[in-house]
Amino acid sequence: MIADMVEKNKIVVFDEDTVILQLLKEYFRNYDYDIIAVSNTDHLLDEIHDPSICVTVIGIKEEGEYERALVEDIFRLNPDIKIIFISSYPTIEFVLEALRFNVFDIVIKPFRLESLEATVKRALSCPRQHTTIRLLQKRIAVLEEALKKHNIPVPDLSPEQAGELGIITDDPLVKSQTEAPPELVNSFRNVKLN
Amino acid sequence: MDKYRILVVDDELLIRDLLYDFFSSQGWEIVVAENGKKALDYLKNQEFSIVLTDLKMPEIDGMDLTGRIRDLYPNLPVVIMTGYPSLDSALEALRHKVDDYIIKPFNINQLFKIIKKVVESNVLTTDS
Repeated sequence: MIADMVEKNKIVVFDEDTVILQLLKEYFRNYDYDIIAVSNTDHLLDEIHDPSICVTVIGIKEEGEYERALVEDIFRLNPDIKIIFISSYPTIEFVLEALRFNVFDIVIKPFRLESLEATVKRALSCPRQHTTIRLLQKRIAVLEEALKKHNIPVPDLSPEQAGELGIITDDPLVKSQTEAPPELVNSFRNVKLN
Repeated sequence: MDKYRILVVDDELLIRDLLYDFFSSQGWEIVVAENGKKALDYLKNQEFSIVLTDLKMPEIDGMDLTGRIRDLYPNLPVVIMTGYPSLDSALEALRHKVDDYIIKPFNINQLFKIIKKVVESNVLTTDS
């Protein structure tokens, strides 16, 4: 699957408590994770830029506005990332805020390291939709280029096909009926792609 | 689907009637179910834009229903409502990827705003 081409085991751990940070770093290294440990939010956001980072584990000191802005920044920089909070005193309101902001999970202190690792593993196994979409878009661009080289027009989705996919669009090309004729499909089969 | 269609699941008749009247007045199609089992039957035969379910219900409760919906219809938005909020159920909702969690009693206009927002953000659009 295309998403499997993306490296999946890179995580960033953030905690202002450097003792916990060191502990988590050493623990995850034993499980072959590529782990980056940071103790301030600026460094966290610097690392999050990297699209190969799939998961971030964030130690929460106190719930509040600080977490909301941080989560927004993280998703803006890396829309596919899964965020896991570690928290001592979660309230219902805190959990519901996390839910509305698409935080993946909250691990409550005290916790077993194995249970945190299981949560990270679950996060890593989730599909990376934005990355997959980008890779598919690149693949489509390469195929379209190859078709153009051989003067083969690219067939578009019919309105019915777009409707089946739940796509709403004003694109006039999609709105027009364009089903590829059989001779076109056959000629496409003979195209050798680089 | 021309209109948005909502499936409301609640064992309380008053809540079902209230929500039926309100969503109908907003031009939505609405189907009500008094338990999780009926809800699953409706889901087999009809397409919905969203499911709004109570949490505490006999037989199949709202969380169990949500779990089954996630397995069978992973892209279907689910909003939970409950008069008995708890940290455990909030965490479970988070882990089930529930779209929102509403605490009763709620303001019906606020509820509608939330439901509409969830449905509209779930519709795929492409740029021309």
